[in-house]
Formats: sequence, C-alpha cells, structure tokens
Amino acid sequence: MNIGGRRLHVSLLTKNKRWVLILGGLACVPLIIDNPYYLKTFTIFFVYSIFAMSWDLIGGYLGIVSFGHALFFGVAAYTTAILNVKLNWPPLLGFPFSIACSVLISLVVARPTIRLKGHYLALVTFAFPIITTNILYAFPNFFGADLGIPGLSPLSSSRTRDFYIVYSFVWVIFFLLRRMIHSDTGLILRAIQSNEVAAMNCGIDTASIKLKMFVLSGMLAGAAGFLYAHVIKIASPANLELHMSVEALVMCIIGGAGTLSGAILGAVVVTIVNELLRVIEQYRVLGYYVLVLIIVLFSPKGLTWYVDSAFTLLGKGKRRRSAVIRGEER
Amino acid sequence: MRSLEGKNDNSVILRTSGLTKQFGGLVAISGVELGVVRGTVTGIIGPNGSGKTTLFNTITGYVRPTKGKVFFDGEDITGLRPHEIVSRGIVRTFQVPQCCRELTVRENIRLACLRCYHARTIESKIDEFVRLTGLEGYYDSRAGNLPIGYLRLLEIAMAVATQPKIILLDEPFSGLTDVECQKTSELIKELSNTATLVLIDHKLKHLMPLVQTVTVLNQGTVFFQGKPADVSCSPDVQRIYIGGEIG
Repeated sequence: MNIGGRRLHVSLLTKNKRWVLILGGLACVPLIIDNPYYLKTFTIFFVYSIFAMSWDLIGGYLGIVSFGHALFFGVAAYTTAILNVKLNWPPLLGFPFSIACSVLISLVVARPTIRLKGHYLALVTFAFPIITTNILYAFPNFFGADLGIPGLSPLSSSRTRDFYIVYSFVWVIFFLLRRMIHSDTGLILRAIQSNEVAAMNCGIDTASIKLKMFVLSGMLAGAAGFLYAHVIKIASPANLELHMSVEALVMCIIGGAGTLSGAILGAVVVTIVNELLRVIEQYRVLGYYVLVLIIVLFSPKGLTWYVDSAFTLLGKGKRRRSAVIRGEER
Repeated sequence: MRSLEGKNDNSVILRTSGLTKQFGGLVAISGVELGVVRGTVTGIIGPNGSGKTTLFNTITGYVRPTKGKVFFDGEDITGLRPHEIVSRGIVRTFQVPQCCRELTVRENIRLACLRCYHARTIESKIDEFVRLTGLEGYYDSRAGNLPIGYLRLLEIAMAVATQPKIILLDEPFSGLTDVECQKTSELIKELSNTATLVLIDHKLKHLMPLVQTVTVLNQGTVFFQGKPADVSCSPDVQRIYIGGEIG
C-alpha cells in the first residue's frame, strides 16, 4: 500500500487517536509530578511494559507459553551490571552487549525447544532460569550471590531524562511491533497459533518463524532487563526468579494476551498493585495473586476488552450524533 | 509401473521407489512403487488402513519414510520438510481439512498466497481463488464457522494458491452430500487442466469418472494398477474391498 506522506500522517493521527492521547498524556507526567519516587514508579512501569510486550509477542501471538522469560531479562541485567560496575563501562556501551547476551541465550533456549509443544515447552522454559540462577550462586565472588551486583550508574544525569529514555523505548518498540502485527507477518503468527499444519501446508517455514520470534522476544526482554538494572541500580537473582517470569505472563493475561496494548495495560495494573500492596508488605504476594485471580475471573478476555468495548460504544454514540446532525437518522 | 512402461522419464512428475514406513512394529506401507504421469489424474483407493494417507504423509514430508525415495521432477525430495516440499510444487489437502479456524476465508487464502504472489497482485489473486471455489459469499466468515463442505473448498483454494504443479487430495469427497460431491467433482476437473492430481477417496462413484489411472493399495503394498474400467472388473480388488466377489 503506497500511502502518500500527508495521508499517512493524517491516518496516524485518526487511527491511533487513542494512542496519541495516551502517549501525549504520559509525556507530560514529569512536568506535573516532580516527586522522584513517583517518577521512578512510572519508569518502572515502562520497563514492565516492554517486558510484558516481549512475552506477548510469543505467548499471545504464537501460543508459546514461556515460564522463563525472566531469564533473558536477568541475563541482560547481569551483563550490563558486570560491564558497568566491574569494568566501568557507561550504560550506552553496555547496551549492545546485554542485548547480544540475551539474544544468544534465547537462541540457546529456543534451538532445542522450539519444536516442543504445549506443556513440554513450558516446562523446559521453566528449567532454564533455575539452571542459570544456580550458576550465579556457584560464583558468589563474581555474581554476588543473594546480594547481586549493586551500584550501577543511572541511565543519564537526571531522573526526568531517564524517564524519557525509557518512555521512548516503550513507544518505539510498541509501534514497531504493532506495525509488524498488522502486516502479513502478523497474519502468519496468528495462523501458526491457529493451526501450524495449515500454515506449513501454505509453504511457510513455521519452525524458523517461531525461532525468529522467540529470539526477538528474548531480545526485547533483554532490553527491559538492561533498563531495569539501570533504573533500580542493581542486578540481583530476583531478576531471574520465577516470580519475575510469572509477572510477564500475569501482565499479559490481565491486559489481554495477543493484544500489545493489553500488555501495557497489564503493566499499569501490576505496577499499581505492587506499589499499593507495599503497605501490607508481608501479605504482598498473597494479595497480589488474589487480585490476579479476581481480575482473571471477571475479565477472562483481559482488561483491553473492556477498554475496547467502551471506545466502541463511545464511537457508536459519536457516529450516531454526527448522523443525526447530517440528518441521516430518522 | 506396468502402465508407465515405454514412456520417457520426463513424463513422470512424481515417483516413489521402494517407499516404506514402519511405525514400531506396524508396517504402514512397504515398498510402494508409484509413478504419476504429468497432467493426469491418478486415483488411489484401498480399504481402511491400507496406507493411503501414510503414502501422502511420506511424500509430503509430514512423515519421514523408513526406507525408499521420493522423486519429484527428477529431483530427490525424500526427507525434506513440508514447507520445502510445498515450495517445490507439491501441495496436499487433508482428510480433516486443515485451515486456520480463527482466521477469515480471505485471510486463509492470503496466507497461502504470501509465498508466490507479490503484494500488488495478491488481492486480485485472492478474488480469483475465491471465485474458482465458489466461496464468494463467505469472504469474511471465520473458517471455524464454515460447514465441512465449504471448509474443503477453502482448503482446495489454499492449495491452489501455493501455485502447485501437483495436488494430492486426501478424501476430498468425504463428509459431503451428493450435490456437494458433484460440485467438488467439477472443481477437480477444472483443477486438472492446470495441475497434475492424485486423489484418495472411498466414494468410487465420484472418483472413477475423474481419474485416468487407479492404484489400489492393500496392507501397505500396491495391489493393482490400471485403468478405472479394469479395476471395477477385477475380482481381486472386489475381494479386498468388499470381502468377496460381486454376483
């Protein structure tokens, strides 16, 4: 489709009106809030959004349920921590290396496992982070065991700038993925999830597509891990823990799997819940999962479904009003 | 292979030699020698469990043969993966139609078109295949909501969209009413103008008028090969098929 520059511009504004609104709104956050704690919470929410989108790419669109996505997140965090703290490299220099490491690790995980199906694949993805955590604990002097590697330098000189760096990461990734999902590649992904044999019978190399998507997903999770380590200034074994992997899954399921916007919405909910539950620290995990259960129980299609329906209703109302104005409706 | 003697090699588009597949102790097919002549319609019949579908599965790469080779256009394609075999020009349909149930008819056909057609021509090609199979009224229906007859048509449309040289149809008539069978027969006749076809089916009434050669499989081996008229007369075929001679 060859759309002229101006038409593309217009369609970007009208089609993505909702997103332009949300984007613009979030960009104003540092102007309104100057409490560093809240600013950091927003930044962490962005990092979670990237992490959730990375899971959604394979979990939501391909049906490859990964229980070990924290592995790629954690590996990138540790890579940049080692480079930054032990070798004094600046974050910008550490970035390509942590991405490369998470890509490498996702290749190692994906190559033998991608042909597995369903439960088997989930189990294997579950095992890899456990192995890696054990490796971390085996070299306490280097990886710092329970404490991890603290003392990373921040991304930039100010919190506000950090905010905007992570913010731009989210939207670049979001719009690139969205573009891909709405293209023929997206059609192939949905086809593979729907019926892999049918896709194969159309001459599509499904194994290679799944592998590529898995690696892309690992790479994005790595980007999230890199940012996270620099935002909270520590890389710790908690980054690789099951809870972290489950968090990605929970965010996508709460928001609605297979809808990128759902991943972001889920990240909002999880971040808010995590923050609110700090008041009852010892019951936090319990409260967290009870909330997840309630949300899943009442919105099995995810929260985006409600948002979408609300917008559709609003849109219908608007269309009817304008039809009345044009005198089309009796 | 008797019927193929005297023809030069180039006329045989698909050939299997000594094709054998064992599942553990079970021999599904053993030493199958099949030659499909370019531009013809070949029928494969045989009682249940005689290895017809396994033969298709081994040719199209869904199952790796235990022994033997598959040659397509003179090239050895044994052990290639299904999508590679599709890109060589062999496509198949399944006993249980394999379409993406969550996608619409249009999206399903688009998926099949992606490999061969350029973005600019793809829409008109989709229209063409929809018209060919008579699915005009169902453009935006989800495949999962289609009745079995239309699902089979969609699967055939998808198969044709991959630009095949040969189409292997696995029981295209099963589950269809007589009227639908009639329509499918006409479609198959139309397809035979552009591609070589191999048909598996039990509905001999519909199969026989379409084919030029019939191969009868029994217990995993080629039992009989010849013209449709000879098959119907052969007492041996009647014996394995119906368990006794007619009349």
